[in-house]
Amino acid sequence: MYLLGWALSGILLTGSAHAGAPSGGIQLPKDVRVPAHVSVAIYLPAQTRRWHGHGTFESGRTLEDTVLSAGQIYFSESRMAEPGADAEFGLLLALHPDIKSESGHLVYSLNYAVFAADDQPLLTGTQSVAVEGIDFDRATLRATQQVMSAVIAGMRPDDSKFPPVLNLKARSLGFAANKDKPWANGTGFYFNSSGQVLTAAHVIQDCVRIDVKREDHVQPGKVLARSNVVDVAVVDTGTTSPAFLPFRQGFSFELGEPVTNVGYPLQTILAATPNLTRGNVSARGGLTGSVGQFQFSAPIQPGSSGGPVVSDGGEVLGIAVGTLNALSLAKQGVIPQNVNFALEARYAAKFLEKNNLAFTTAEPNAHGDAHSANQAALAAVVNVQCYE
Amino acid sequence: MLRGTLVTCALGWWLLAAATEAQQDSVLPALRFSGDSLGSGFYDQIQRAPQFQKMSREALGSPIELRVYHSYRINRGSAMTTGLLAAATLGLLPAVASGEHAVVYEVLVNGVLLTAHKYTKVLTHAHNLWTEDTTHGMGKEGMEWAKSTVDLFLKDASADPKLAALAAEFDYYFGPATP
Repeated sequence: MYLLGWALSGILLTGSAHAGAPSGGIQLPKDVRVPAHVSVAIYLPAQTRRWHGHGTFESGRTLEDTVLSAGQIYFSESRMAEPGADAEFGLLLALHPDIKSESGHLVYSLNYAVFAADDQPLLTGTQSVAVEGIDFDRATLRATQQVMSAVIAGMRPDDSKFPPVLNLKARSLGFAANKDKPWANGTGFYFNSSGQVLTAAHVIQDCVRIDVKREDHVQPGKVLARSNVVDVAVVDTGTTSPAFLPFRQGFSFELGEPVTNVGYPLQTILAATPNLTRGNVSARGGLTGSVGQFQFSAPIQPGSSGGPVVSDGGEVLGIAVGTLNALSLAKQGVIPQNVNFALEARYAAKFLEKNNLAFTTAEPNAHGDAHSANQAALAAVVNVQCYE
Repeated sequence: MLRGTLVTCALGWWLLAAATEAQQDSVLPALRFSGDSLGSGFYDQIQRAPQFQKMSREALGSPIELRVYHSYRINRGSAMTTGLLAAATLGLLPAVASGEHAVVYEVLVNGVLLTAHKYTKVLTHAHNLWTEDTTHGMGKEGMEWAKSTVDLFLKDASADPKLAALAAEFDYYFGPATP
């Protein structure tokens, strides 16, 4: 019974592992004192900052909470690196967490890189911790402490070595991104000759670096405008684009109209060549409560978002933005088939007008065919890669 | 005097009209509601507010979502107390939980957090380990506080410039979300 009570108290504790002094097993050289007198900006990929080990909704400590509380012990000043923040730091510590299963056990890894004024890292490495049970909080804390100990032991940082000159106000955080692989992949297409690419806003959500890729040619992208309401964004490649797609004049379309979709889906497993699928406009509306969307049947996969839905005349009718979640519906005994959603082109055009971005329209070409639509779409489509 | 009254009345009418117009402008379009076991209970109260009258649990395709949930951080000391009490009572009675509870109201646009209103209170609550706690670990007093956060949220939401801007942007693309 005694044991049961203590076990229960242990369960309650798991939601609140606190960073104190470096805990058991975290060793520092004897001549090193913490906190090190240096101001540190801590970068975490935006989509990992709210990770926590409990349930769907927020409960207990987030990864950001843990990292910040550990930072307070190891450095005299530590804050999260916020894009565009007007504050000066001596160092930037970029952390990239990962969880893998090794021999049936979960292992929490924290890859790290330390930067000063330059874009080249001064120190890189990885610290890994086995996850006991489902206690991600403790694993996170321990890995974070190990990283910070390694940084202090390896660099002996202080204000004289690393004065606070690193300012993120005008400096992109792209240098802190994990450049090994994109965090997300999507599709876009040129809509004018100025090298501007239209894509879905969720494709570039939280990216600190965007690459626009076509065949083997990669260009850095810069976000010119975005709207989460209609889920579209424009990325500038800084070059010209001889091939681009016009919108259909008047923005009308017919139910059953044949369409082509081109995209770069499943880039982790498929070759880096565009996928072309054919289908029809299958409904004028999307899901209940959606606005400005139509359904189309040309198959799409993760990574197709932002791709154009093109008529046989080669005019853009819409932009692929989503699909039915087949997995969740399958649990209810329903297998959806090619129920995909596109934002109507008229709303993308309104977005471009609002942001003073030039685009062209073309009269509906009643004599077009699949071949011409395919060629037009293939020539204008690009792979949009998001790095965090 | 009459002129002054008329001016006052006219000014009052104008202010009322402006306020009504402003409130109508910020009526949010059909938005999806999601909540945890605590937040779900606040649906009706939120939906009665003019700003959220188009909210629905069924608006699955809406780009806008209101998410309401309860979060908590248990103090390390309360867990120790639980252990001590459990030990002293052969592990049967009672569990003492002390910590910061929060009711969080988040508005997301296509999955991206637009604005959040978080209301917190430190609560200590004891209950029998083996009985169901229907107060989400907050106790009766805590539940009353949690329910009171709905009105606080509705007041804060009506003055939230991010929600007003969201309604305006939605209006630009799709027309006004009329009551």
